Amino acid sequence: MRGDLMKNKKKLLTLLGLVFAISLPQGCASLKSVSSTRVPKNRTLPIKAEGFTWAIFGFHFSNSFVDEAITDLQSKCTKGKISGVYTKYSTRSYLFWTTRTINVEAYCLKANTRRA
Amino acid sequence: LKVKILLGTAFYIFLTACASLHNIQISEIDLTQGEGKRFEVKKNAMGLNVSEAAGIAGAVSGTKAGRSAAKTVSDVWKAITYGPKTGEVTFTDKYADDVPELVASSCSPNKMTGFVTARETNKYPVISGEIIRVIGYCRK
Repeated sequence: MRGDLMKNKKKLLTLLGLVFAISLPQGCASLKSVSSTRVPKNRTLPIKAEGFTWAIFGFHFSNSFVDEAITDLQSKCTKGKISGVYTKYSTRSYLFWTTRTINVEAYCLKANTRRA
Repeated sequence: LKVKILLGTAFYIFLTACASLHNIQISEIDLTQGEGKRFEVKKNAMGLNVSEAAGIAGAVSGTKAGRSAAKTVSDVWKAITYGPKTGEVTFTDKYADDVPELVASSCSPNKMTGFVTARETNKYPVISGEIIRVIGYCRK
């Protein structure tokens, strides 16, 4: 009886160790917000932009990565209209650090292709 | 020296605050007439965490009775603020209500584009700044 218990305990610890080892490089993901605007009919020019920041133990001192994401998005569609904007904000927690990412996917409508 | 470094780091963190982004929404952006003039509207309210204040008070008091009283206050605070919330609790939820008006006064309505709405928190010990930020572009 005690032997079985010890065996099960070892198995459980091995399993926990495995889960920990797998999750360590992956990190724990948390999806904070998702939003989308009207998707255009013309989707020939998809564009992507990203804002990213990381910090040790989650001590972030600024949210300037929001502005980085917007600037990145605008630079990919100069003189056009950015439509169908899908915004995803997520965080990942690792053992000693955390990351924050804004992923933006949209469509660029240039003057000659704009028939949304 | 180590204590000085630790104290310096703690003071720096205290002054700069930890920034949190809770959610963000980006709308359509019309760049056909150039980027336009950027405008930003920000409204904030003070968030409060009595539990943290009680924790600090308990640690500073140095007595068992003080720690016990602080723990009671902290537990009561946790009980009355139980449940999901964004950032810290504030005394009112009306602080963002005049954001649309402020946005409207920043640019002519038919020239506005590229709205970015963000809900943020600047966290200090005990208190926090609960922020609503709207960025937009005013076309030429």
